[in-house]
Amino acid sequence: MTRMDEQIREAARQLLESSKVSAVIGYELAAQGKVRPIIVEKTEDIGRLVWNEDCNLNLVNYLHQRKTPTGKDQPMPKTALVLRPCDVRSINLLITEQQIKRENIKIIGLQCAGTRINNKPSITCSFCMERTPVDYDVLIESDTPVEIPSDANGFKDIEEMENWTAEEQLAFWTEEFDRCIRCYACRQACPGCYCFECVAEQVDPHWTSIAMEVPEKMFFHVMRAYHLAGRCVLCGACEAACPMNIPLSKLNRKIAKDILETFGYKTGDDANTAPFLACFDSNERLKVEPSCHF
Amino acid sequence: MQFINYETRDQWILTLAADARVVAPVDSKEKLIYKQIKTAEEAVWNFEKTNLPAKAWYFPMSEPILFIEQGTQTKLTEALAPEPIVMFGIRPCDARSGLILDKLFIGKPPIDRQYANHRKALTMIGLSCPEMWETCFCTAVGGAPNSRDGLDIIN
Repeated sequence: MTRMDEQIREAARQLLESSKVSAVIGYELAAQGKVRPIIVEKTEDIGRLVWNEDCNLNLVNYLHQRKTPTGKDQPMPKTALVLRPCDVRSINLLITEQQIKRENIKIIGLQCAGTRINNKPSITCSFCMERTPVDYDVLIESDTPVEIPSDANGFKDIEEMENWTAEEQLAFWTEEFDRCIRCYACRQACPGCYCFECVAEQVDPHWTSIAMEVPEKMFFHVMRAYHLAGRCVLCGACEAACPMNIPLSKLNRKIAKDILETFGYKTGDDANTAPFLACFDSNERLKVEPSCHF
Repeated sequence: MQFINYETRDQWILTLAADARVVAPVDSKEKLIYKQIKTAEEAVWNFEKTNLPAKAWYFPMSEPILFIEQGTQTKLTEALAPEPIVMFGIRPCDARSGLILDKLFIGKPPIDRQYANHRKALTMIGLSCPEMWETCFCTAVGGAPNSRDGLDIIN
């Protein structure tokens, strides 16, 4: 048991025993040295909570199944979550989109040294510039140092890709999306993807066919990236869930980079700012030339 | 029984690739997928199991089955029968799963013509398993690491 596990369990025990929350969502050890999400509702299960660098999902996603059903009045059961700095941003996203209320959430925030996907540092983590959450109720101090390297630049790989020709970009994405099996795990793992009926499955209007061809797969992923424009918190859960190693976050990070550079907007900074596409200012002038073809 | 060695196998693939589609496990960013190859070097020969089964090559998830031509008279044309495919590197369990699909589609009438054509065009060359891996259980369902069921040739 690491010192981080101890701190998480202590925080969970205090929250559950004082009945401040009815459940704590965290990670537990699973078979073959892996980790999996766990919803702890009883104090005797607190000992199962762990944290290590393989905890690469966004647990905020589990709040959607605890939300109040539409048209019903009862409040959402109070829930505590073990969250990385990026995950905390999606809490703010869901509050601004009026999906959840902050008073029903307790954030066990982590000082995050970065997580791994398939035993390799995840792409989003290796470019991450944020190591302490913007908001938390309890802060879990990291066992390992969490300094951001001085040459860190959140979008270095995207800048490289921007210099590619359109043909090179198309060739890259064609090879990546050729592997896609349309399992939609990326969508299911994403806390921002919570439509009752996804465009990919809608029959009337029938936006896209279910064919297993690259254009259809590309349509799905580009559509998803656009639906997350100004909403993606760059947690990399889609990439962690992908069984075919597709670098999906590159699409989202390109859009996030453009939004940051053009409008200075970063998703989930706080719970009061309106969602990016809902804060139109009539005096706003677009300064960028439409040069990017991603 | 006749045997060939690796060198003649590579030569064989070159010859086959000239007039049939040769398909084998190919590494795509650390994921193994059956893809068409031209030479033996493109394929991976030392692997556990592929990430996707061989099924997609004889029971594709999407394919044209009928062409409809509109005009004064609507013309319907059945899609052409698939070209011959030779698949290399099929694990015995993967090949046995094909036999289960066969029962469903061509086991008894009515026969799925499209599926039957795909099966007729397919030659499967197996790769027996040198060891048992973490998720293996073929012997529990009547298979074996060197089972020839559903395979045309095994090595």
